[in-house]
Formats: sequence, structure tokens, C-alpha cells
Amino acid sequence: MSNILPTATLPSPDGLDYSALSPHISRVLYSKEAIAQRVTQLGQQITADYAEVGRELVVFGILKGVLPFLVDLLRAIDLPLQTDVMSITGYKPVSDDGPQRRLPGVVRITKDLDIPLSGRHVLIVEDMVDTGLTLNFIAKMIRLRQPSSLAIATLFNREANRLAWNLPIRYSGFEAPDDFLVGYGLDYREQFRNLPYVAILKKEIYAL
Amino acid sequence: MTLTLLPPIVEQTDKPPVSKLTARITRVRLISELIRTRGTRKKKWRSNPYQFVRFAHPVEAEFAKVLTYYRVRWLYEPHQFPLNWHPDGTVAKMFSPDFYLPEFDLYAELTTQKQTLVTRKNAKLRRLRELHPEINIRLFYRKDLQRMLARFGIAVSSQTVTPPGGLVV
Repeated sequence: MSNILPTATLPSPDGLDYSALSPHISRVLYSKEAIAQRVTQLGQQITADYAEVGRELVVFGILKGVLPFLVDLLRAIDLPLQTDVMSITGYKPVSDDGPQRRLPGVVRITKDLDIPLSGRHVLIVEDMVDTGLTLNFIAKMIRLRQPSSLAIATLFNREANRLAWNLPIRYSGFEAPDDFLVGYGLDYREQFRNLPYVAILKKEIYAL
Repeated sequence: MTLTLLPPIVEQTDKPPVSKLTARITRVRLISELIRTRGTRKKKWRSNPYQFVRFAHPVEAEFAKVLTYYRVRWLYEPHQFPLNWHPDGTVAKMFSPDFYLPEFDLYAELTTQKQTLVTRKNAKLRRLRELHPEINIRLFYRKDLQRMLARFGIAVSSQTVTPPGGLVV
């Protein structure tokens, strides 16, 4: 963290000081207000679609990037529902110079759902669907638990890079551009999650 | 063992020479030895399956590891598609997508060349889609790979070598 963040301070937006992150961001893509408006719309749409389902609705997100979106979306859904979170291990590349060279292995669930899903309507909330590999794994696991229905709500959708094209994405907030997005839960090496807006990371930060 | 059914190799001048295939069998391996070899091979495969595949670029190996991590089956350059033919009917140009993902019935082609240098690859892909519109194929450009693999903490450099790929078994 310390070797990335500069010490210079810049004018702060929204009364909060995010200026230390500004040198890494090329521009703000979606403001706090634009995100709030779209999340409210998604919430209303979900409310209308699941109005007759009632108490059978289970909404859960996949940690950690989804947290701000999940919290805002849940408050925008005007229905009785149950909520939970799931956590899976992230991919960690292997460095050749390490003392013990090990393969990355396979994905594992580190925090499973506490709510039974059998016979219930399940909505998976995700911050961004890009290749769809993570969601494909989770959707397969969820289908084994025999829910009544399975749908996905994502804030950002990037179909150009989709490998798992058969995912049931029913709610999509924004079409993601061909840039590296950070903020509102989206991270780069665990940073920038706390930004209230979504911004584009400068290419020189992540590309060689 | 079907090897016992083969005729014995005996030097006989009045008979025609034995076939090459038969002559090559100079040592019959015991079943236990074969099982042991197979076991060692399986262990090696389990410890690092990527050593059996000759990837054309390191980024393809990383891509394969990401797919394996998310439990998605993949095949490396399993199919070749003829794109152009000579007047005599022989194949003039072929295209072999880097990956095939059976679960999604999808081919993935990766390129780390700069955007300005991918014209030939784009033309090949266009031709493939003309000939086989039923095939699902995704082309990942360098910028796509950089952004996608950066999410997994993998840096992507530009293309340096393009040796022929394939299975090395």
C-alpha cells in the first residue's frame, strides 16, 4: 500500500478525502448518484418480478467486492427476503522464484451459506461479471441444492469477454467498458474498494 | 499380453526378413513394470499437468491454470480448421484456436500482440466464422488479457515467441 499511494494531497470530492488515490485513476466513470439511481431501479425491478414469491426469496452475494452493491440493493428491494453471503478462495498466481513452487489448486468455498436453498427462489448478487468463471462455479454449486429458480443480478456486465455464456443474468446495472474499473467494491490488489464512485484505473498501474 | 502371440524372432536366411514392427520388440516389459511407469506418470500429471502441454506463450499457461482453478475443463489446440485450399485440393491455410472449453462449447483464441499487429488473426477469425458460422469462438486481445488476468494478479507481457503448440506426451 505504502509503495503505491503517493503522499501528495489533492482537492477532495464529496467532502471526503480520496485524493491519495486520484493519481491512479484516469477518470470517474459513474458517480455516486448515478450508481444509487441505477441500484434503486434494479431494486424496483426485482421487487416487481418477485412480488408473488414472498418469503421464498433468498438473496446472497459473493464476498468481498459485492458488499456495497449488496447492501444498497437489499435496501431497494421492498419484499420479505432472506440474505446471506458466500466467500470463495481467489486465484493466486504461482511465483517461479518461491522456495516451494506450488500450483494454484482449485477454487474452494471458505464461507458457505447458512440458509437452505432447496425449493426457494435464489438471486445471486455480484459486482461484476466478466468471464463468468467464478459465477459459473457458484451457479453449479447452487443448482445442486435444487432451488426453485436461480437468477443473477450484477452491477457491471461485460459480455465481450464472457466464457460462461449460459449464466442466468437477469438484472444488469451497467455495461462495463473495456477498462479496469475500481471503486464501489471493485478493487485492484485489495485497494480502491472504499471509493463511493466507480472509476477507471490508469493502464500503467496494471499493465506491463 | 498379446505379445506372446507374436512369432519368435529367429535368424533364418531362407525366410523373408521379419517386419520392422516385430523386429523392434526386443524387450518384453513386465506388467508390474508397466503399472509402475504408469503410476509415476500419473503422479507427475497430478503434481503439474501443465508440463505435458507445450504452450506457445506463458500467458496461455496462466489462462489454463485459471480455467483449472475454476474447475472448467479445457483442451489445448485440439482442433484445426482448414481456411483456404490450393487448386489441387491440399490445405493452404489452417487455423487452430488455442483453447476449447467443452462445458461451454466455446473456442478461445488468445493474442498478446499489439492491437496494430492482429490484422492477420482477425482475418483468419473472420474466415473461420464464414466457413463455420455454428462455431462459438472468443478472441481475447492483449488489452482484454491484461485487464482480465490483472484481476487474478497476473501481468501480461507482449508476444515474444510463437513456437508450434501441442501435446507433448
